[in-house]
Amino acid sequence: MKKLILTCFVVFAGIGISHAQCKGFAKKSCIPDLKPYSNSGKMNATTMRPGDKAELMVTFNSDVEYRLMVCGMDNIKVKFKVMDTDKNVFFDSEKNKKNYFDFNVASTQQLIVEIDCEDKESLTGITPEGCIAILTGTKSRK
Amino acid sequence: MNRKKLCIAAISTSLFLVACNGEKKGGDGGEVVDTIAKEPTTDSSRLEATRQIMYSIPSTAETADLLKEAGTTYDIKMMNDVKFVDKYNVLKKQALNLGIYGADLNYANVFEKSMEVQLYMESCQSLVKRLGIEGAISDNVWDRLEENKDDRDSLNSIISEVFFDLDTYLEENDKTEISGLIVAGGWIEGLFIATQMMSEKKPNQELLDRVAEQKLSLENLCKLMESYTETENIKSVREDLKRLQGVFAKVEIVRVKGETTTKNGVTTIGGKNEINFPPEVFIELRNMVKEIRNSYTKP
Repeated sequence: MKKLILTCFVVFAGIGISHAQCKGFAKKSCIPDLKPYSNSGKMNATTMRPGDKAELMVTFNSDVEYRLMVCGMDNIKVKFKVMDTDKNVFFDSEKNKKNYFDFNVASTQQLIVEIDCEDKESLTGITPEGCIAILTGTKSRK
Repeated sequence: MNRKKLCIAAISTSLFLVACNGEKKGGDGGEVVDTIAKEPTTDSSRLEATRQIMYSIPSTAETADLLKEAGTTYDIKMMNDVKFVDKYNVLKKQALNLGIYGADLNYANVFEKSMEVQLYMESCQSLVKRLGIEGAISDNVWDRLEENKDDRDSLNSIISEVFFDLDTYLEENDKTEISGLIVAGGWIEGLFIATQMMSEKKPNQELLDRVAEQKLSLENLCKLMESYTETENIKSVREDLKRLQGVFAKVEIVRVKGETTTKNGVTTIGGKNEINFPPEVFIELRNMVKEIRNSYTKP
């Protein structure tokens, strides 16, 4: 019965954060770090738990400098890769030890941002869940 | 027994809320829409881990920059007439034209046309009010826009903030239909400006290539639109986009890989697109975009 109650608690804990609230988190905690790039005004945000994966398919234009940033709440640990549709990796946050990628594309192309929520030891024994936001900052190249 | 019921209720509520968060059905990586596609992981002792797939398209500000760099000039006659703003009386027109005026606003801003920026700002403000979503925008934003109307970079930043706040508000208030229509309206306006700026007989090659590459954005836009609840409004816009996809299917884009280099912390992803965009396809696309866009802007 204790197990059942714990499971119920975990389920309730897991529904605590809505997709929209994630955007509020991103606005407050992540957008300032886009500087000196301008916030492009578009953002994808969601909630993740350890073991979860997310992918974002994005079209990037040539003639624009981009900063792509993946920002997560402190209670979860995320890493991400940026790759083309053939899975050639251009950036790996784990190797580069930073949560943003500054880049431009020689010609307009689709890129995939692959995000992994890693296991992180929880002090409470409850599976943590937190927001992640994928933001893009831009500046003109010319 | 009661606790069991409580737990079942909790699980049901959880699933319901996940569904309501705009995180929808998914798949194997190909046919997936906005956010959630659940795939089990090895850890069966807790809730299943998920695999989500999301889609994104360039913002109207990015497209405006792209059009300017590709050699377009500013022509106010191409933009939607601000006089129409009070004549949009149904939600679909109001939301689509908020996206359209938003694109025009960005376009006027990249060309530093402060008078027009002011007019499009007022049009956007009016539609925001008429859509009953003025709560999305903080009180001082319109004043800040007015104060910074001659500073392109500040304006760009404030405009982005406005659309970011709108998107967040619409999601929080379960008005994603409006969100979808704004995104679609803005994208159509960018394509309309790009295609109408070019002469049919002697199109600007760089701009023509940029138009062809919108095929890539359209794929993402269609998948994004599939993620919204299917209302009549969303359905009809999706049908328009599918018609455009039919024309873009005749445009060939072959990706040729190139060298990727990094200098001063900035990576340049090389490669180019080899594009085959036959003139007759361009004319077909130009006409179709005009027809769709004008059907949206017609009061």
